[in-house]
Amino acid sequence: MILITGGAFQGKLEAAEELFSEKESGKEPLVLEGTQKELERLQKADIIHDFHLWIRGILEESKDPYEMTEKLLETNPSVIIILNQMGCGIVPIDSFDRKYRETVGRIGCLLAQKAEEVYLLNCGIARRLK
Amino acid sequence: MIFFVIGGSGSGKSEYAENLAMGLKRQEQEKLVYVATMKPLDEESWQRIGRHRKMRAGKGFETRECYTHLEQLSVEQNEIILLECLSNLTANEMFSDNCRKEQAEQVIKVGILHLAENCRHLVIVGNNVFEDGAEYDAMTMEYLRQMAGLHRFLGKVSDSLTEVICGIPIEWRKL
Repeated sequence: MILITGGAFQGKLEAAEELFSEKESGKEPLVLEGTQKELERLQKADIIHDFHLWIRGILEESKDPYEMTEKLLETNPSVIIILNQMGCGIVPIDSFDRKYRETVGRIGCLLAQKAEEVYLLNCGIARRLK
Repeated sequence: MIFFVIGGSGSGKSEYAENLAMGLKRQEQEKLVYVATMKPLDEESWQRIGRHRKMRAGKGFETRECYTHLEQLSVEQNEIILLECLSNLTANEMFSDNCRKEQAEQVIKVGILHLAENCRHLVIVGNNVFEDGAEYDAMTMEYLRQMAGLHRFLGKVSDSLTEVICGIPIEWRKL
C-alpha cells in the first residue's frame, strides 16, 4: 500500500496517478472516491481518493473505522490511498467533527506505519517521507 | 528566477523572504522592490502599513503598491521583486472593485510570468492555508481552490520552493 497525503488541492490525485503509471505502465487506474461506501467495491480500487470521507461515512454509521481499514488493507494490499491533512486548524465546536478530525489523523498514522511508501504533497511537489 | 516561500501565520515566512531577497542583491545597481498587496481600509491598517514600510526602507526596499492587475505592474530588469502576498492578491482579484473573479487564478499566473520575465529575481510569499480540513462556504472554497491552483503553478515554474516553519526553512525545491 502507498499513502499519499497533504493539504487540500495540492495535487495528490495527480501524484497518485503518476505513481500508478510508473508501476503499471499502460494500465488505467481504477480511481474510486471515499464517498463510495461499499467495501467490496473499494477492494478492487487501484486508487482511493478522499479516504478521509470514507472514514467520515464509517463514523456516521457508528462503525469502527480502524477495523474497516484493516479489512480493506487485507483484501487490497497494493492500493494507493489519498488522505488529506486536516489537523492544522482550530478545534471544531461540534463533537462529531472533533472525533472525525482526530480519527483521520490517527488512521493516517496507522496507514503510514503499514505503507511501503508515503508521500507528502505541497504545491504539486511530492516529497517521499517513507 | 522565481523563489516561492510559503508558511503558516506567524511562521517567519516574511522575514525569511525579505532576507532571501536581500541576499539575492549582488550589485550596487540592483534595486530591492517590495510589492505590497494589502489594501489599507482603515486607520489601523494605515498605521501598520506605515510601520512596515519604514522597517523595510531601513532594509533598502522601495515599496510599490499592487492590489489587482499584476500583469500591468511596471518593473525593471535590475529589480529584485518581493511580492507579498499571494493570498491577498488572490482575494483582491476575486472580491474587490475591478477584480476578475473566476479568472483570478489565470490572470495572476500571467502577472507572475510577466514579473519573472521583466525583473532580475522574483520572490513570492504564500500562505499555507490548506491543512485545516475545514469545509467553508462555497465562496471561500472557491478562493482556496484558485489560490491552490497558483501554488501548484508555482510548484511547477519556481526555481526554488521553501516552506518556513517556526522560522526554519524546509526546502521543497532546492536551487
